[in-house]
Amino acid sequence: MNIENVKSQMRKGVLEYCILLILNKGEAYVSDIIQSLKDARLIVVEGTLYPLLTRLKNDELLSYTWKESSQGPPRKYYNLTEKGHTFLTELEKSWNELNETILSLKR
Amino acid sequence: MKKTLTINLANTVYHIDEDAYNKLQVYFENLRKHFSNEEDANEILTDIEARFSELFNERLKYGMQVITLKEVDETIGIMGNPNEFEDTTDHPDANGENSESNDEKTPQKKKRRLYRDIENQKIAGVAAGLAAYLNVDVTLIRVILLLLVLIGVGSIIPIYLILWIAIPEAHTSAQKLEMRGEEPTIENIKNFVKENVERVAEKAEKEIKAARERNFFQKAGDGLIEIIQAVAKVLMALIGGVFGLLGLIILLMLLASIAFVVPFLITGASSPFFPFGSNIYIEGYNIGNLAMYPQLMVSLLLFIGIPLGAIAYAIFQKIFNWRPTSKSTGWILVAIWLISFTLTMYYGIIYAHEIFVLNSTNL
Repeated sequence: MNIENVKSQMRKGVLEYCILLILNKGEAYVSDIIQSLKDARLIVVEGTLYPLLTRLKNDELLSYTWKESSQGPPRKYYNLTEKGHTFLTELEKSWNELNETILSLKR
Repeated sequence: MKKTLTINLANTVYHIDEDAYNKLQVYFENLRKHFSNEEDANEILTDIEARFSELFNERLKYGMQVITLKEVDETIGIMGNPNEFEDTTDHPDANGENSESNDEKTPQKKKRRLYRDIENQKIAGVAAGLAAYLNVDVTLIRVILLLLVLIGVGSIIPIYLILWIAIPEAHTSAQKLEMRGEEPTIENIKNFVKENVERVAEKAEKEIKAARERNFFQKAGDGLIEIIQAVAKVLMALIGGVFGLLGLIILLMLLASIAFVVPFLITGASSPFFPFGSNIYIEGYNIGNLAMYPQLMVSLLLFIGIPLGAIAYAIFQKIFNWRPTSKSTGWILVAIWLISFTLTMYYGIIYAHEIFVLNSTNL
């Protein structure tokens, strides 16, 4: 069993949750999301994020609007949809359960 | 000193060193492959390009003008190579690295198409095209062809001419790849073009040297084919026109005669065009009257009318650009026609029998 593999599996599991959490605070464009994830030391390579965002958008959990930026071309600002909010609440529940399980196991 | 290129990345212009450009190009190509199963591959790639543009912008702030290999390496490092991406889909193999790297080297094989290989042609490129299609050496094909001619299979020559006319030339790189049975992806075309640059240069030199002798034969051949094709086209047009016109005339005549005859057949009345009473006599024989056999009449009308109507429809459709009818309509008509055909046979026999009985008792 490869330790890196397990780690990446774990990250994979929470990445979507994290993105939704970040966007729950307000709309953000990709660089903001990347920055937040980096601050949380979660993301390894940025390329991972793009297909994930697209998939979340296709599942109608996210939507985006184009906004002018002072430097360079317009940017895509992502935000949570109604569906995204409910999805996040669900994830929240299961995360809490998981967290409790882990904590109880650690005791 | 290096050559630079200008690129458009997310609608921003960048100057980029040639080597850096090549690296970036390969990287994006790999990304494209990686995301090829993805629903919105294009959108993802556009987003990534936009991010690259942003990262380049950050790096160009310090008064630099050109993106070098260093910047590209850094940005690719940030973005990560496709095999480093954490695959969030539920693929059975979590890191598809193996399949990924294998795909890059071996060009995918697919069905070959037959083209004339005008690059390796001796006469028209038929043999070379066949060789590429069958994946064997051209020389082998040529030797076999020559042997066949020599041992008296003379029909090879007209067959060759027919193939010459029928098989298209491989003009574009994509067609040339198809001829060899390789997928015309950007990667393959790129490799192919690279491979060929030298060959083409060589060939150009040779051609300049031998321009006159070579070109005469080819030109003569090309001219001949053009003439044959033009003549064939004119002939086809003529034949088509004549047949169309004939068909139309025959059809109109048939329609006219039916229009005249049918009312009298149905009513059994006599008329100036069809002077028969209730029973029709030809040379003393009673042939009855169709009007007295409605089943036969109806089936006969359908039996004759459906094909005629179909022909008429087809012609008018060509002339007036009507929409073609649906397939189901066609099948229904065919079914009705088959039924009417059977009924015509059935009632026809009954009718003939009755007429026979009628005549034998009367005479």
